[in-house]
Amino acid sequence: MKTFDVIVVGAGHAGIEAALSANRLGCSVLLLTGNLDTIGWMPCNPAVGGPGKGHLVREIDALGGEIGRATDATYIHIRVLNSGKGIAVRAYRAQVEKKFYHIYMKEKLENTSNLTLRQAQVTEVLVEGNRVIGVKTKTNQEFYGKAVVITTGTFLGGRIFIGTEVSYPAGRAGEPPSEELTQSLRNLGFRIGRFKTGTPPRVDGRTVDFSKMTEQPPSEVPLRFSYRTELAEVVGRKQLSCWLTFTTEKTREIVLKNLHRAPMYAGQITGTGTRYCPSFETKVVHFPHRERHQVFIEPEGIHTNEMYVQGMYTSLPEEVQIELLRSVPGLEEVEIMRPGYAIEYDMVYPDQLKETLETKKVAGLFLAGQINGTSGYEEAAAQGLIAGINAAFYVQNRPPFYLQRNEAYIGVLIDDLVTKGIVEPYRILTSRAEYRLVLMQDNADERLMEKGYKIGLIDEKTYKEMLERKEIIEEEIERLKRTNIPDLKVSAYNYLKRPEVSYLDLVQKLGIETTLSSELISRLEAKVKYEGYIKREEERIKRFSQLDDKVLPEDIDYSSIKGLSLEARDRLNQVRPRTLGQASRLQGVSPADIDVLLVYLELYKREISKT
Amino acid sequence: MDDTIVALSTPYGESGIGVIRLSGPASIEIAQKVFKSKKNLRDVPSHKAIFGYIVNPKTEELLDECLLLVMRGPHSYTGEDTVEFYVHGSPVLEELIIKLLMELGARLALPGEFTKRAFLNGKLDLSRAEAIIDIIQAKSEAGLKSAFTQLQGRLSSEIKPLMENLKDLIAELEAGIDFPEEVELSYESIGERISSIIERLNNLLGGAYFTRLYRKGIYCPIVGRPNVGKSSLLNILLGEERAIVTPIPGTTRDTITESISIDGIPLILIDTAGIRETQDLVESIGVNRTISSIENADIVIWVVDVSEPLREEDLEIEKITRDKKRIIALNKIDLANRLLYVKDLEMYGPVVEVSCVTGEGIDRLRLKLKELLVGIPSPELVVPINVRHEALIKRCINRLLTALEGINAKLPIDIIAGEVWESYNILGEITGETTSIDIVEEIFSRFCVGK
Ligand SMILES: Cc1cc2nc3c(=O)[nH]c(=O)nc-3n(C[C@H](O)[C@H](O)[C@H](O)COP(=O)(O)OP(=O)(O)OC[C@H]3O[C@@H](n4cnc5c(N)ncnc54)[C@H](O)[C@@H]3O)c2cc1C
Ligand SMILES: Nc1nc2c(ncn2[C@@H]2O[C@H](COP(=O)(O)OP(=O)(O)OP(=O)(O)O)[C@@H](O)[C@H]2O)c(=O)[nH]1
Ligand SMILES: [Mg+2]
Repeated sequence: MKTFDVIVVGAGHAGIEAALSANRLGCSVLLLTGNLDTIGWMPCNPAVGGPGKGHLVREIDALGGEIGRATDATYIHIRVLNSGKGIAVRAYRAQVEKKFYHIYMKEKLENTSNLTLRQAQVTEVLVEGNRVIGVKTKTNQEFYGKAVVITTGTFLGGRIFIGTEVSYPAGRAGEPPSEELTQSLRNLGFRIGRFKTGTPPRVDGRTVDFSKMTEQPPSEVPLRFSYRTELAEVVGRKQLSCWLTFTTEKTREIVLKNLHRAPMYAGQITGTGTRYCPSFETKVVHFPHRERHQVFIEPEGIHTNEMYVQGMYTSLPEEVQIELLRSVPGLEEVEIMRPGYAIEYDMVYPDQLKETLETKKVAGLFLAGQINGTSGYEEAAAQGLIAGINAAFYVQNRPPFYLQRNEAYIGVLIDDLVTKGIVEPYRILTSRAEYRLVLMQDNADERLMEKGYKIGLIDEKTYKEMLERKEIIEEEIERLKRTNIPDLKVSAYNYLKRPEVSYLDLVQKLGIETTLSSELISRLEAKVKYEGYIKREEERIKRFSQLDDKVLPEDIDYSSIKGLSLEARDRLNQVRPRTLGQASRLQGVSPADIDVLLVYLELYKREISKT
Repeated sequence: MDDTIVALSTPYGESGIGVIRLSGPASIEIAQKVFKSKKNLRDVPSHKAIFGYIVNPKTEELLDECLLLVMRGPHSYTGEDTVEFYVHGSPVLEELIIKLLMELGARLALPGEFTKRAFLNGKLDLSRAEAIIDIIQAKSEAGLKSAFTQLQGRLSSEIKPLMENLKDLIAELEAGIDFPEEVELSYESIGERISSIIERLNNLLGGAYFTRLYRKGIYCPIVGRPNVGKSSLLNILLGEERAIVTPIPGTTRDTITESISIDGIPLILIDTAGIRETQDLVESIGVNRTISSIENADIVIWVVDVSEPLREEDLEIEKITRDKKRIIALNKIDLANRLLYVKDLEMYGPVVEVSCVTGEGIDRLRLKLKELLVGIPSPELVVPINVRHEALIKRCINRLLTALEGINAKLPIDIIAGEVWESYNILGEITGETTSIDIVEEIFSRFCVGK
């Protein structure tokens, strides 16, 4: 039977990127997924982007990923968040047409050569020695591959809860769970945890009274996530609005009256939930003084009346859900189309992974997406991309590919996963990035495209275009440096540094021409206005990243190093970090332990050079 | 290891010579800023002693004369550029110089850090490696211990609530950034919170001043014209015949220092030579000393003789003590031929009538001294601060001031947040806690955000 280079299990957001990137790097890829009709499905809000997440999308795109392209092709609402809070944290957020997004991805996968797409339920990982060799399916088929990437999302041992009375096995609403695979992973020696998440009810848009809500219009400027999306594709896009309303005192009362019927409070759900995705009942309990909570009503598509109710994810029984919704202005007559629910699922603690997302135990086995304890489409896609690249490189014997914390949010995400012990679903936030000022959504291409080009994921044309953009901006900066503001005795460049001055003000004041697009203008402003801060950040990076360049020998036996604290010894033996930098971020490893390791490394180096 | 460290490398305490060592890439540059000599340190040969002066570049104040040695890396103990200052061995002076070097960018070395650097730069042989690990271990234990005692300590208990405040603020800024649709930020309230933290940090710095006052005592010279009874006053306050008393003006030629305690506050009394124009060389040196002791004074007791009119010299003394806290002791009230009264002097400050012969009024003088000292908080109220803490607090204040300027200039929040994070981390170095915040924890425990 044919042996594939890479087998990817699951065609969710992680699986898609993994399959496509491995394929683009020249691998034959088999993509197995439970249901071909839910490829790239968005079981929660069909929204892409926002602070941190938008940054991820841009980075994935700069490395040749698909999520940005797919979002641009299918969005029905897009706007800029944080525009007033600083260029580094500014991000796009889009609502996509849920069905179209799926169709886009399915079509893409089906029409990629050397990529085989098949519906199958994987039940077992096949291993020889400590190397992966393939997978086995529910229908007793065996598929062989040199590398395997597992991206099964919320499906492992998934169980849905709606109120205290209703609970049943499911991967997500309407789909069966994956029951056997967890055991297979357990048998391979992986530590497994149980997390939970949930989603609000969807309502019929025809039963919503929008006149009682505040409209959230989309951006009038055409926006695009992908550097490869033609502007023409998004100009004039038909967009829909989102709507804002608030809960009332009555909503609170209903929750408090029914609290004993929420499985999380009745103790039925034991999995760890996200704090940033609290159920509505949690909000009411934890913030008793808050009189009202925001509720956004957001479109799920163009060919559907279904609307998403952001802010009201709940695991209360269905009959309470409708009562809750109807206590909100504008929703008095609302009808539910799908109830909200909570889901509990198995995950694999990600400190068992290398930063390539390969498991430390089984060579050639990679994990990506929600199975690693993350939550979110963008987080999943980022991991899928990195796992796909490294699976290909593993097969091709190329050196591993990873990104540092100071290079990309992707680097922050993966470093957090493999070093910090994840104890609850993980979501990217800009505040997790210590070098936030250099990691802009806007400059992802300059940060990463060259790498993408070098490894073979970015084509010549896209790469050249990036260089051109860079050049145009640099030329314009030079021009501004040479130009003086007549009445002020400062250069136009320094004048633009003032917080209240925009590039367009400047151009007007000087009465000069400009051909820069709005995208390039914001890039230019970022470069000029943040110049000093970026310099300082770069100095900090230089100061702190030295430890990240110090690679720990692979055969190091931490138990034999005198002077390490016991706690550090255990944690280091367990995680086996690649660099001293990673070691320094492990819980229980103190600065003194790092000093000891520094001394040890020096000893080791001298011993090596002697022999 | 790309920062520059500084420490005293001779034992602390009075000794003939103190050696202060700077090591790291900026050491020559930093030394150049304080060292005045004909030579530019960038050009001087390695390992050659140079004579010069240590001068505070900001105040131009001369601190000490010294010998200095530049040792360029890799030919130094640590393998890095190193500068050694050979100064007079006085703890106060050494502390001052180290503080100055820290203000100019050096960091106080941790115990064993010079040796660690030496090892990592390949300057020590393998047999020393074990010893170094021992040092590091000892250091971390000592560090733990000192972190522990500090935790119990007053400074930490002052700093902690400030860190809590900063943490709240960071959580709010971050929640506003990461959940823009749910959390609103107001520049005004952020600015107010930063200002109030700066104010509290400044109060702590005030503590540094009082700490020093307590450590060295309150410096209180007794001044006046010759023969007004300064030595007699010292003796009576001390309760022993310490200074020579004669009817001959100009008896006291050199200063005599003795300390007494007034309600637990250490008061250092200095009997000085009476101030007058004099041809006598020895006496004139004494007078000069008197004048310099006035400059260093925290409080001055000015003695005036009731049996004589106010003279030119008295008014001279009045002038040079005008900026100081002072008490006027109107002495010899037992004499019959009295010419001066309280009303003649009260325009110059609090006046107490005393007689060193009968002892009358001495208790009132003590009381008056105590009243003047009341402005100085009692020792239980002073938060002790060392040089390192002071430097860190100053750095923290600077970062917060930058943040505040940013707020006023309406700079974007991402930039302001960066400054606030930094200031939080700096305070963490004082309490010795792990400096990273679980920001997610903070955001979600304080703000109701998420779908
Ligand atoms: C109820 C719910 C609420 C959510 N709420 C949020 C939220 O609030 N915020 C947020 O950011 N994210 C949320 N998400 C998470 C988001 O949907 C996921 O993080 C993201 O889709 C994960 O991507 P993934 O690729 O890891 O897995 P998924 O997108 O779940 O894809 C997994 C794929 O694997 C396939 N599969 C599973 N098991 C097997 C098997 N054994 N063999 C073959 N194929 C298999 C499935 O068919 C599926 O196609 C929620 C998800 C759910 C279900
Ligand atoms: N009657 C009387 N004589 C005093 C009193 N105090 C000091 N004398 C006398 O004044 C003379 C000078 O006293 P000193 O204490 O030596 O004065 P001084 O200010 O130290 O003088 P110099 O050291 O010379 O500057 C001595 O003869 C003292 O006895 C006092 O309160 N009453
Ligand atoms: Mg005398």
